[in-house]
Amino acid sequence: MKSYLDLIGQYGRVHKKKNRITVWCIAIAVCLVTAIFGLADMAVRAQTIYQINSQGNWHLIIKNIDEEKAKLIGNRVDVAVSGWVLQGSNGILRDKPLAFVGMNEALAPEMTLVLQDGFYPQKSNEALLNNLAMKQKNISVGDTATVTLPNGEQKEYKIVGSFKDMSMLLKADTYGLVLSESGIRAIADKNFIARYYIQFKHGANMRKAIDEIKDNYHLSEDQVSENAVLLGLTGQSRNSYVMYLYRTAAVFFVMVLTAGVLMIASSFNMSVLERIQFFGLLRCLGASKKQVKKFVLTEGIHFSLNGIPIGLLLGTLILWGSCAFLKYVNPAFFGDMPLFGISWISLISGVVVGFLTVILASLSPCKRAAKVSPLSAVTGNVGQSNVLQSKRAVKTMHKRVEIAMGIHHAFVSKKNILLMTGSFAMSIILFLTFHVTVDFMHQAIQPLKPYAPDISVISGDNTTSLSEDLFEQIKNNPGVNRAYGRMFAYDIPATSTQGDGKINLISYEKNQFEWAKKQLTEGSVDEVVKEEDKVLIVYSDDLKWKKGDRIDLEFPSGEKNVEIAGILSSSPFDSAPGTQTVICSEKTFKKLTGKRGYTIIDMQMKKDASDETVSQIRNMTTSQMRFSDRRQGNKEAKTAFYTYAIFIYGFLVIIGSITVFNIINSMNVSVSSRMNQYGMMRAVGMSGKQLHRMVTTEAVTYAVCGCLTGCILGMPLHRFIFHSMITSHWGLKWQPPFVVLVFIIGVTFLATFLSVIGPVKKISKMDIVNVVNAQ
Amino acid sequence: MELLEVKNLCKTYGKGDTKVEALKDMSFSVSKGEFVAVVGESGSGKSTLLNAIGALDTPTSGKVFIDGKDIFSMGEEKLTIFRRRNIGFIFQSYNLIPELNVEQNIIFPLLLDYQKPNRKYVEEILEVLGLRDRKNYLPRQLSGGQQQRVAIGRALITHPMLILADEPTGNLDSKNSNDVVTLLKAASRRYQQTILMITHNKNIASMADRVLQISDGILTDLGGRAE
Repeated sequence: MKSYLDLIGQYGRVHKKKNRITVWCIAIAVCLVTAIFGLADMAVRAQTIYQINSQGNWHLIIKNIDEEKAKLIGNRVDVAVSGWVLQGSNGILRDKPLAFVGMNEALAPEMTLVLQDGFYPQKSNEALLNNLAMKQKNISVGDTATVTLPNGEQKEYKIVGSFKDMSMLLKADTYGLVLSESGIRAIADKNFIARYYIQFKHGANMRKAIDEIKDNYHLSEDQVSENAVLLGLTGQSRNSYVMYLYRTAAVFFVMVLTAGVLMIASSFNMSVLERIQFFGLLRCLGASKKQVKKFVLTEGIHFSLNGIPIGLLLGTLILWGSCAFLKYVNPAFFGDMPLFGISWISLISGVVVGFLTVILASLSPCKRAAKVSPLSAVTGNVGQSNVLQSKRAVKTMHKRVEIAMGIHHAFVSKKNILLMTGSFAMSIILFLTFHVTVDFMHQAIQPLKPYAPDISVISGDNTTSLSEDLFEQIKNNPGVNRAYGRMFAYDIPATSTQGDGKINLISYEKNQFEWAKKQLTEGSVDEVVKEEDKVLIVYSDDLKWKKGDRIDLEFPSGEKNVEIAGILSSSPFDSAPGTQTVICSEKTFKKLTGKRGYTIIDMQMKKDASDETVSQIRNMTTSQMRFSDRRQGNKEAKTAFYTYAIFIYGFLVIIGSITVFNIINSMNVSVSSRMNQYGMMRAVGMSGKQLHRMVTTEAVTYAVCGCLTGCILGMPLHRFIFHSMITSHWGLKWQPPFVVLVFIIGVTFLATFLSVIGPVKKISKMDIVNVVNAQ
Repeated sequence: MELLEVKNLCKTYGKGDTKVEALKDMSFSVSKGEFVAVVGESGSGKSTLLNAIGALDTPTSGKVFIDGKDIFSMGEEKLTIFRRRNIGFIFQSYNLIPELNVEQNIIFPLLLDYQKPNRKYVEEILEVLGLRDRKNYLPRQLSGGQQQRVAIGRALITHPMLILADEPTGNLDSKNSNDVVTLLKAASRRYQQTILMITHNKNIASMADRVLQISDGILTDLGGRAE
């Protein structure tokens, strides 16, 4: 030993177990901060990748400006890529609708255009065609294709390459032709839309640049549109909703930091307090107050040096797990995302939180340790010099003594109860408020509904023109997992005693009735399936009818009467105000309208269904039908949902497990600090069961205080965040999150009871002889 | 009548070279109401003997009978309750519960037994121990002698048959030491209790009915008084 501070190492070697608890506590807090900030960082990155891949990598669009201004803007130092994009539709390629788009080659990859074959068009008579068009119309690179332009003229293009199908084109069942800028300008007329797209350089002050551009070129608000999501993700949006989100993020940031600080402070405080006597001994042996302070602080830094790397590693492992999941969900989108990515912001915040908290947390115990009187440390009575002493005696009058002692232990030091209640409450508040993001996710991103079709065949004129034969053919195709059609009759005049109006009558079959059961708020779906004059109605603000009402429907063939047997909260259909959506069985529909045949046939494909199968179905359709391939769009929707879900549920799982760890750790620390007292109590006759009850009471006291504080502070915060993230945007009213609250309180109490098991075992195994003779 | 009977008690710590025989085949008995002092050098095995008799520690072999009951044949829970009701402990380092006041510390074993303390008896003990004025004080507000008197009160409250005292005067000055032992002796006479007390102090040992000496784990009965 060269310095008295070397004692820290020696002490650590002897009290490995005790120190391990403190080190783990620091590690867990650092892991919480690292994982949450890392996940947030990765979420922003993943969302950015998703946005760029699905919407294009641009920040600003300007309309109606002249070439000269556009050029000046494009030449700004902070602009990375810019250029004109001209779009037009209503073209035809061999009987199929065709959309046109043209831009310069540099801009193309930024606008989600993925070249699959050949090269980008250079001359005005060169073009790229989407993959599906190439395949379906049997066109190869190098062929010439004759295209009907929107103005009716015919023009020949040399196809110099193909590009990857876009979900937008597939859904609309339209082909896409990509031209060079000169090519599109040659055919553009007033029906074409020209927009100037700008992508700023990474790290540029985009906010300032956008304002400058608007000012310098006198652009009105209508002329300029920003990519709010992408700007929001880079922290540069001024969109009021994004500002709300930033504010929410700031609240989360502060809460996570507080949780980390509280956890470390509480365990560190205990770790020092339980060794007050040891510090007294140091003082007795001649250590000055300053030296004791230095000892505690240095020891804290030692703990940090051990705990922080473990925390950083754990946090990063959680992060990698999430990234791996994302890559698995959509390798096409997130293929470029590094599996073992490092989030510097999370590592730095982890380190800062770890060190700062330990230093701050050790300041106060430092002072207390230094204050210990050398005399009290050596004259012996265990606990005499322990700072965890009460000023008042336990109230043993009305409670069993062990219960009274347990409660007393919890409240014995103001600081202790504050820290313990604080760390319990913080877990609850964190869980409650983070749970708002789940509601946010369900509002912001519609998860793929069970009824979402992969492919739809739609009657060209929205009548019941799709024959039942076609439906049977589709249904019997081996690649189709499920086919379900709907018949539509629009704007049927309806009268009833409650008021008149119009309805859209739609037929369901068994799959759709089954899905609709989830939306049923009143009545029965089965009655509508079985009985012919019964219908379901979809709730709307102007709905006057109730369950059991009878309505008269006026069909060309005569008046028919139906009864409302049930009310659905929502449906996938839109209707004009004053027009209600009424759903009936196919049998009822046929009986009421006298029509046979479907308006739309939806199908969900089997997982192994190939493009061949899709082509077969497409070939069954005629030009009077519309064909919509939504598979790619569905996949993108799924990806969008998963990118959010993985991070949001990731947050919640981390917070949940931190709650459990924190509680178990806190109880461990609290019990270790009173080990001697427990030994004494056992010596004078406290039984194992009584000890268990005493420790449980102490833990439950913390839990009750923590839950109460958590609810009192958490509810208004939940409301505030709900308002910022959801009410302000979707108008959804706040409701107390009782289910979430019950869940997290349940987890807290479960963890509390679990947390007692270890310490009680430790107490019952302890050597009483050593305790009672300890000096 | 024998209240305490110790038969062939052995306690060994460690193995091989580090093996220490703290108690070597010890046998003796103590009658009801007897005040026995145990003397011996530091490390001779006195505390080990006391802890084994009090069932705070388990011996390597041998048996201890208290009031005819083999205490090591009892289960943990039963033993705890037996100890609580029949053995009173007094430690050198008092071992009072810091959160409980004087009166609460004294009645603590009764509270653990969910019994209602007999007010009269509590007052009597406080009176005898000279703690009446300080019954609401917390341990840290008391002097060493006062704290030890509280510990004696705690040991007496359940009317235990046996009081085990491990150097109860070790931390006290000579006046306080004499007071404490006189008190202890008087109390035990009054309540017909058996006392087994470890002490280094020859004066105190001389106040005992019988003295046992332990040297290197071997017990010798010195009979009436210490030398």
